[in-house]
Parts: sequence; structure tokens; C-alpha cells
Amino acid sequence: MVTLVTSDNEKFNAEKEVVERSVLIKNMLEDVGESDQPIPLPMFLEYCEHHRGEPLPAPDADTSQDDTRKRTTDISEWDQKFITVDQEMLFEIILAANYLDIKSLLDVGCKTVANMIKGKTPEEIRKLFNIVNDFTPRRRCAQIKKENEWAEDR
Amino acid sequence: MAEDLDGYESEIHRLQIRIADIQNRRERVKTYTKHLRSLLSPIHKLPNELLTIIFGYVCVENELQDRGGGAALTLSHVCMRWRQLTIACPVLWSAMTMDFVKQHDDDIAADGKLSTIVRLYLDRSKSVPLRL
Repeated sequence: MVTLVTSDNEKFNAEKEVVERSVLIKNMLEDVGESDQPIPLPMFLEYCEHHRGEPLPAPDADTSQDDTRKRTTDISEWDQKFITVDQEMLFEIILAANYLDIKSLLDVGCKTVANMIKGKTPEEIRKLFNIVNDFTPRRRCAQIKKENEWAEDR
Repeated sequence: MAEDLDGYESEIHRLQIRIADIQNRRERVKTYTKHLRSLLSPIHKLPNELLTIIFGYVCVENELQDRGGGAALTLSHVCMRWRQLTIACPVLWSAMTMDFVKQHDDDIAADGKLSTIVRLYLDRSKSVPLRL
């Protein structure tokens, strides 16, 4: 068993097999060895618990270049339910998954955002994520104007 | 009387200039406030490498049509940061889906538009292998 502690000092006990889905924690455990020292951790146990026993990605898998995982944005029903949170939490989960190096959770988060973007116009995307259109007339080069004409911003 | 009227006219003109100036300043403050609020938006917390992964999923298939520029082009029109990111990532422009069935035989202009968009994608995908 491993003791995990959140930033607000709440402690959780979890099995090593479960928390080792995070490459970061796996490496920490390997570096520290068997110890009673608690490991600081944000909320992700539920996800790891559900995916316990599933094969872990190869340690040298390069996420940015792994083309096959980019071919679908399908998300399992359980993961979809898990990731149905507000935008603030969604991006926190993505950042935490990236920090903790949990590739499958990072994928779920990124696919969710991608699905939110798909099929929308630039203006709809700006509205969805509260992004300011900073293409000021001075900075908007002729190229963007031309592209807008081709695409007609749908 | 005429002097009075002239006086009123010039006063109205002066106030109109003043109103326009205040409206102008109000618009600038509104834009600035909008920009500051946007900085608090959660998506701005994501570093470029994570945004690029997300963009990768969005651009799995760029459906190119005479009236639609595909996902990569849409992303590049959102804001300056997204534009720089998408253009710097050739793989996003390398998957294209096209439908060559013409709906109108004489629609040459539409064909021209589509070929312009395809050329843009070919250009921005650089030497990355294409997926058609």
C-alpha cells in the first residue's frame, strides 16, 4: 500500500498497482523504494482504480508522434462520464495527467476538448473557450483575409 | 437670434465631438476588459505542447470543400497563438478528405477555391507524409 496526500493534506491509501498507472509516481516509488513517506497527489485515484489491470503504455512511447492514437476521438462510456466536468476542472485534469504522466487520462482529456472544438467555426470556438480575437486590422495580414474568403468562416 | 443659433450649433458640435471621444474610450476599455477576462479562461493554462496534442485530434480529418477550409484552417483563424501553433505543426495539415463529385457541372469557381485550399494544405504540411 502507498499513502498519497493531496495539496489540502487529505490522505489516501491505494495499492501500488493502481497508482503506478502514473509514470511519475511509478518513477518516484522506484527512486524512493519502500517507504512510509506519503506521496503528494491530486485527485486521480478513481480513474486509475477503474483502469487497473489494463496494459500500461510502453515507457518510450512518444505521445506527440504516436500517430495511431490520434486517428480516433472515441471515448469509452465510463471515461466520458468521468470527464464530464466543467471547463476549469477539465483543463486541471489534463494538466494533472500531463504532470503525473498518465497517458491514457491525458488522451481522454485531450480528446474531450477536441470533440468540443470539432465542427465549430472560429467564432464559436472563441465563444466556447472565452478567447479574444486578437487579429487586429494592423496584425491581420492579407493572407488571413484571403484564407477567410476561401473558407468563408463557414 | 442668428448669433444664438450659431452658438447653439457650435455647442452641439463640441458636445458631439466630446461624446464620440467618450464612446471611443469606452470601447477601448471594454476591449481591454474582455481581453483581461479572457486571460482567466481555463484553456489559457494549457502549454503549447498540450494544445498541439488536442489540435492533432481535431485535425484527424480535414474535410476540404469549396465552402469549408477544414479543421486546421479553422483552428488557425481563432487567435494569433493558435495560428502560430497550427502553422508550426505540419502534421495538422497532412490529412485531407475531399469529395470530387460535382454538384453543378459549371461550378468552376468552386473548383478553383478547393484547389487553392488544397495547395495551402500541401504547402503547410511541408514534407510530412500525406493521408488522403
